Amino acid sequence: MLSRRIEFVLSAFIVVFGLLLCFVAIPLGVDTPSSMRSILLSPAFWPTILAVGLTAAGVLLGIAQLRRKREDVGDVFEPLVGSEILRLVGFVVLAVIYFEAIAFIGMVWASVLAFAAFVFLTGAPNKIIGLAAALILPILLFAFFYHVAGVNIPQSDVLRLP
Amino acid sequence: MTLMDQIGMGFGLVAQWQSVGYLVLGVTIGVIAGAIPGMSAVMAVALTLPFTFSLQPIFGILLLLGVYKGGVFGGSIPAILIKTPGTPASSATTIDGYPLAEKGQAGKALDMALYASCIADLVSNLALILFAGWLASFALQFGPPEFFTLILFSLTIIAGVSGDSLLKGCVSAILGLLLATVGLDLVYGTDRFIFGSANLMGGLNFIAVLIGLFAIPEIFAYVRNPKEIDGDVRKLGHVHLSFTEFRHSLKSIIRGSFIGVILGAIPGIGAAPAAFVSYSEARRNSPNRANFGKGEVEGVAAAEAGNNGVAGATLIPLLALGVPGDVTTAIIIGAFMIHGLQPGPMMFATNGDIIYAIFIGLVLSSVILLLVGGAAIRGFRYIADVPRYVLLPSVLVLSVYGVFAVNNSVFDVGVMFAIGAIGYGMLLLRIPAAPFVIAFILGPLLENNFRQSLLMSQGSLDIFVRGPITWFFWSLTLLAVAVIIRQTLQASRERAVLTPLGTPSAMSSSGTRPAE
Repeated sequence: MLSRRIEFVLSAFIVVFGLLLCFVAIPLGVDTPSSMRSILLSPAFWPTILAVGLTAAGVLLGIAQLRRKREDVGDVFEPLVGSEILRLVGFVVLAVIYFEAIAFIGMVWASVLAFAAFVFLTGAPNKIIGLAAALILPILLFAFFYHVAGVNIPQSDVLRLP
Repeated sequence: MTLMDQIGMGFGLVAQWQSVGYLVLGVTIGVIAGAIPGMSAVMAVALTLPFTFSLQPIFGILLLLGVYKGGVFGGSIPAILIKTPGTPASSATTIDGYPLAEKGQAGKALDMALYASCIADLVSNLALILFAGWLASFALQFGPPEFFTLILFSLTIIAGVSGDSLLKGCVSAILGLLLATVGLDLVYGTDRFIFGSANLMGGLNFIAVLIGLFAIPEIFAYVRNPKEIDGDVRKLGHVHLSFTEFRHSLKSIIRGSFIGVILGAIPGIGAAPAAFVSYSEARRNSPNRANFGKGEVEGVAAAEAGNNGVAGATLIPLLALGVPGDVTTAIIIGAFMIHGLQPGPMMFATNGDIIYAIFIGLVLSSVILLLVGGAAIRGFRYIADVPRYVLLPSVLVLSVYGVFAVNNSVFDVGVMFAIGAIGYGMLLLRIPAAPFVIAFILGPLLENNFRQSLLMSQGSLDIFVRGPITWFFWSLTLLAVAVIIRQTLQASRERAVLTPLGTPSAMSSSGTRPAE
């Protein structure tokens, strides 16, 4: 269990998310036919029950924090330091670029570049080994999925693999 | 088709060289993955799953079961040699395994771990063969209302995988159930949370969700703190297990195997508690109880027998009822579905040959584990040397290829990354991922059986109490909920007494996923 403050914020977030589901996401996102034999058969019934359950769980989590002793500070939540935040943001950007790059340069070369970028992002002690793996693994996986499993791995027009 | 025909056909399926080959490959992958700290058996099964798409169902399933079995044993190798359990289930093995390694008797501890694991695995497989068919024939009487009440009861396993906070486990499970509602409604064919995206009409891809939750958060955790695992690998030494020592521990091995079988057959308990119960029973009954914790080989035997005894037994509810016993078997249910098979009582009638092939394959896997495990013990130094700066990006690339291969969909890769980010958030906030996955698998089954029952009864809820089977499962559910609430209250009272005021417990928020 984390500190009271974090657990409180979490419980409030869960309650707000549950209410948003009940009053916004379900009415907007679930199409309900006009003629239904029973409310229990409605496509919205199950999500509504779950949204109510989520809200209730959030409220109970909040109540549990109220009952906790003030001195009970819970687990240490190590705050993110500057370099950690930079690396995590870097990884998120890397993942987004990796995802987008598949459509442009194909999965193999996108994977090679993503692997190589990951090696530099995390400051690998031996970059030669990392870069060698970055080149070999995606090509081996391509060979397996394309030639053995028959999966149409996306490729670009440049540097197409046989 | 008679029972003998099915057994004969099952034997024919396993007798192919590919079946044995995939089983050996699976056990090898599992042992290696289990032996690498930071890789779990769950992650190994999830990452292997996409490689089975192009295989015949029996080959794919045997490969995955091999990974599962190998992974459970593999965790004991680093537990003994570097005091770092490869899997949570191996934590109990560390208690006596590492002190033995410190005394230069790692070879003895590892030999005992291997023999105990193989014997317990065999006992567990035999229990599966004995009980799964019997349970399935009983479950043939089930209709949608009975299945609804059974699945509702199965959801109580969430309590077993919720870790410290039951409420957070419930939140995780509800999120999993909610995510399972995305897609076209099965009764009316209307949209649910699709918001105009054609990619979401079929719902979220199970593999993308699974890999997103179990592999990507580990990569996030490594990116945050990119350090290699420190561990002084102990030498095997020249002292190996003698037959006398093995004979002295046999009672604990057999006892531990049965403890594993009983706890494994109950959904949600898992291997780690079985290992600790088996260990404590062995200590209680052993004449060498004073030596436990200081390097007693019987302690290693009991712990390993307990956690491996679970492996076959968790497949009893999976094969007989279509309900997963733990997270790994939840993934294996997904594998069955991907191969067009629906585990449960009907599978015994429609795909009896595959069921018996699985049974025979599992028994064979115990022998294979003995051979592969022996080799892995000697090669651990090389396994432990795989640098994390190569391992983690490899997992990333493997995940992308694997998720894409399911539906040839780049959208699924995006789903995986999104779920991975949510998974890392859950990891930081101590929200367990296992209830999410179990609920995501069971959610559609629960809702479909609920609505089918109501369609049968024309909207009357009376159908859910129509007979003794539904009453039985309602009673079990109520009993389970009462026990869970009682245990939760008791645990919170004990925590209140034990937690020293103002002293935070030493648990890092950036570490890897806690035991699930």
